Amino acid sequence: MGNAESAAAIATAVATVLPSVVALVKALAAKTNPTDPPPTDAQVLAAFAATCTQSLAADDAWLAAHPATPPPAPPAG
Amino acid sequence: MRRTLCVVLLLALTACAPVPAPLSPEAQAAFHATRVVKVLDVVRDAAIAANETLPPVISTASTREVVLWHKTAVQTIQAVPNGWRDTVRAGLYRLTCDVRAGTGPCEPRLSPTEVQRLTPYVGLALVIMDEVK
Repeated sequence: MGNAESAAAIATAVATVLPSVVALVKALAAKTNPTDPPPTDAQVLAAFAATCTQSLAADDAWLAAHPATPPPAPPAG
Repeated sequence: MRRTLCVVLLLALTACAPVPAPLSPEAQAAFHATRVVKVLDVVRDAAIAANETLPPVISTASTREVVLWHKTAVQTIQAVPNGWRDTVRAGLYRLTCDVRAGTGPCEPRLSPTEVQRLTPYVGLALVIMDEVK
């Protein structure tokens, strides 16, 4: 592979990855914005309760969609 | 695969977030417990995703074991947000027999291949459980 092809490949890779990197940096910057008011106790407790509820609901949904198969019945006679 | 890696990376980054300063001890425990529930979700979701492949990498019976373990763990955390650690670690050890989670006799509930499939996610869960106070 020549230098020009290598440079083109690198440029393509950077162009592909760069938007994701920029989005991640923006997300992290927004998350740590010092002007954001810190969450209150009530908000943290509500988020915890909601997370647990959603998590358990997903468990129940999967278990309902995949019922345990009963053991095979013994042969008659 | 790429999506899973992104989720793991973002989860790891957010799991290291410091607790907001003016929270009560109860809210601080809930803050950490929320992150642990989310990483346990990743373990469960990885098992479910592996069960949905053709052919399944993890059997439906084993996925059921993982989902039932996850449900018990989350119920424990929900009931005792500041005292779940030993119980959840012991449950993870009983599920996987992973030496990073515990010691002592252990009857494997999953096949070695299935455990190997979940090892990165179990490791991440253990790291985050150790990180939170």
